[in-house]
Amino acid sequence: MQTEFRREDLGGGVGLITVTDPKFKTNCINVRFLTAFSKDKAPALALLSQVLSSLSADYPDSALMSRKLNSLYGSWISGYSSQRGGIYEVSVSANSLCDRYALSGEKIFEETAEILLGCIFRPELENGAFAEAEFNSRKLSLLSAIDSEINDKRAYAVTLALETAYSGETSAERFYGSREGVEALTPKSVYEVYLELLKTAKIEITFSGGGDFTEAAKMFASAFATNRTDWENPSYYYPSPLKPEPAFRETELEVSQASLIMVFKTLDAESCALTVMCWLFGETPFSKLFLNVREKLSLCYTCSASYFDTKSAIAVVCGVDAENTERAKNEILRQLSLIAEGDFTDSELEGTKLALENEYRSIYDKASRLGDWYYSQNAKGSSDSPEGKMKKLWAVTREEVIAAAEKVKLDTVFVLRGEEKGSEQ
Amino acid sequence: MKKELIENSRVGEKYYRIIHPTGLTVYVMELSGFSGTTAMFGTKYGSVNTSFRTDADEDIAVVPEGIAHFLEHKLFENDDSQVYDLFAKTGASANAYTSFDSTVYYFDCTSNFEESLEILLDFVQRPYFTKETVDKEQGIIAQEIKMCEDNPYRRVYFNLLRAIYHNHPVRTEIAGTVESIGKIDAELLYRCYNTFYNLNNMVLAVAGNCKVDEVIAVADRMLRPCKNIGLKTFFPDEPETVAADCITEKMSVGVPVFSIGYKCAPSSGRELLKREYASAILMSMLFGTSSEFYKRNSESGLINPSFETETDDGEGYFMNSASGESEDPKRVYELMNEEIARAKREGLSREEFEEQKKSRYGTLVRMFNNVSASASGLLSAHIAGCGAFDSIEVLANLEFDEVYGMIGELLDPERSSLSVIEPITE
Repeated sequence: MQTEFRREDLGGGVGLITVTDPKFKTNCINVRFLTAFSKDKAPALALLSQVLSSLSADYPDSALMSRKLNSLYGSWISGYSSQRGGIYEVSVSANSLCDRYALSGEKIFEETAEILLGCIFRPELENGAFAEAEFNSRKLSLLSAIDSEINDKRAYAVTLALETAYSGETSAERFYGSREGVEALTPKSVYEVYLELLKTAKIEITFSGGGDFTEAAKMFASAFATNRTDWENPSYYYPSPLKPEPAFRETELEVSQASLIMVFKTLDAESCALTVMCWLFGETPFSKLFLNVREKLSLCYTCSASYFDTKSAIAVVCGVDAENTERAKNEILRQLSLIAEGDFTDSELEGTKLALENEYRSIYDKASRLGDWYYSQNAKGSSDSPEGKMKKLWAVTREEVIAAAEKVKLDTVFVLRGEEKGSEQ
Repeated sequence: MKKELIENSRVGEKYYRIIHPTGLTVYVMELSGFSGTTAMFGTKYGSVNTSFRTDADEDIAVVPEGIAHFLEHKLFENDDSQVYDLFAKTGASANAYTSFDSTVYYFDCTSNFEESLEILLDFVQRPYFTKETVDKEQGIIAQEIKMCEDNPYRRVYFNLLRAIYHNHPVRTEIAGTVESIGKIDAELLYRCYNTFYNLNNMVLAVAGNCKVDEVIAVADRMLRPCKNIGLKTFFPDEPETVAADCITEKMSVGVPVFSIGYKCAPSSGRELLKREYASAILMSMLFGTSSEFYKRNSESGLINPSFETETDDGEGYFMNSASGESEDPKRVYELMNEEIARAKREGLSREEFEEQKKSRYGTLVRMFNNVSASASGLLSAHIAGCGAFDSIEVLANLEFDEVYGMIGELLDPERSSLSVIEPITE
């Protein structure tokens, strides 16, 4: 591995991370505007990433910009808005081939970087607001995506489960706030939120890949130079308190298979021990959940656990016949209590750590994942490399895994179950 | 053993192709600087291979739908162990998938590569099926089938295949149905295993942090010689026409989901690659994000970013399609056909064609930027009867006039169908 990582504070709440490894054939740039969640601004922020990434004053027609990106060997520009922990992120990113693959000596990366800067700083405007035709197109797309949430049944079930689990917290809100909020957006109102974002957001720029970033980094440092003295600094961690009693919620929908979602929360458990515990519980095909709920009891095809460190929560997701949800729930709880009682072998623990090592080491093989890794570490206030994190996970003892499992408590049970099915015509 | 080095100067990569004495074809791409390695062990046996005969058979055998996928599940259980437990000792992440025309077992690892490769080659060559283990798996697979039934994007796609094809088995779900898998027993599984899991019908593709000699050494230790059994697969006659113009189903969706397909003549080898690229470029020029069609109809809200085009092909089938979400799928279908007619009448831009070629070249270079995509590229090229770099050469030699001349055949409204999933209304 020849991975080189560097973070530079550009001043005024702007940071620049570069992660370089010559083995990569591509370069990625990610510009993140970071703020705290606000229900009022969420609809505009959700749409903003889409509006900014679709055109600019340099390429005032989305088809024209798409053609230009095609000619740069399929470079792409994309936008993404999300809420994670206490951070609301509006991200605009670019990806291009390294210049050495250009067939005619083109400066692929610098040209792509310039297009991205144009999208961020030179949006196409009409009458002091975002250009209306493209704005309306993106707004209709977001409304359609909101209406289609129900199409992916499992993801929809998880959204509803987390809504209950995080009730009363901003994390219970959708990243777009509300459909009504999106409907009410105008080119002017979103443009005003954009101007405010430039003034107040913390900004993290990430360059990752195989290329020489020197010129592009200069371009970005100059474009983002600011004399700001005050900016937001949202917190990555936003732990969710455990309910006094677990909440139970059911919803019916036309589905063949029920979804059982169980959300657990932790009382001040240590993060590395929880990570190992969660993987032992349900993150691998040799985990307790896979071997028992799926293989031994034959109850489901999927049954897995995920750890959300920002919320100190673990979600178990299981697809199961509606009449078997209670059996599955009881078995999931039993497997967790068995870990808390120390009912796992040293070999299972070592296998889990080996799987984690594989997961963390493979981060070095994808430029975008490396960039995301170092961005997240900075947000967490950590300087761990994937290798460094791996060492910490290997140091977790059996006793610490047991202690972590003891602190994991059931918070929410959500079931999405079926009604009568629709008929074919 | 025959070992050859295949290089491509355009992308600056190379790989080894080895014909192992056991009959297995092995590909190895050493990617320097990468931490991980992916190994994929596959057989040319997918859901469409339900009719076959070997030299030992008098008649053509016809087996239940879903059996290739059932085998994929069952091979993860040996007589003395669960395969995932073995991989737990090496840290590799292992899995498998079944497609229309192949079944592939694979792992990704960043350490203990040789041990993991030994496990992969061993368990795929060591089937173990009993009535009890087959019965248990039927419950798990039934849940997988139900999960797929609830996925409107998958339903709309398979409904489209049923509308496009009269007889070809591509019109059937890869996992089969709850009813068809109920007919599968241990004896049938052994029959299909012994027919299709013959090393002469299989391929091993390895890419990443590995050395060719180390792969060959493991192959020498673990592979068991196979006699070529003269396997032949059969497909029913398929008319040129589509089976239905339109197919509609109701599900709980927020916005209608649609898929529009254009039936084309099947092909194979380099000709298949040429037709795949011609299809992709034509559909991008007509309906992609750089097209007037996309701009006009996304501005009006008729389509949204879920709109995308793709080509699906294999033995005996070839279909170009567009899918997405829209309040008015029939209008999307009409406008697509109008756009095809306009392109035939007025022509297409040579300049944009060259931009599309560059974009496709970029996609190919990106494939070798990724360990698992490289292994997958080696394997899928072999299944399609090509080499992994053939696509680069086919693309480089693609000419505008030739591609433009293929519109009529690759996007023929007379041989097209519309599939829609509509919301349930009270």
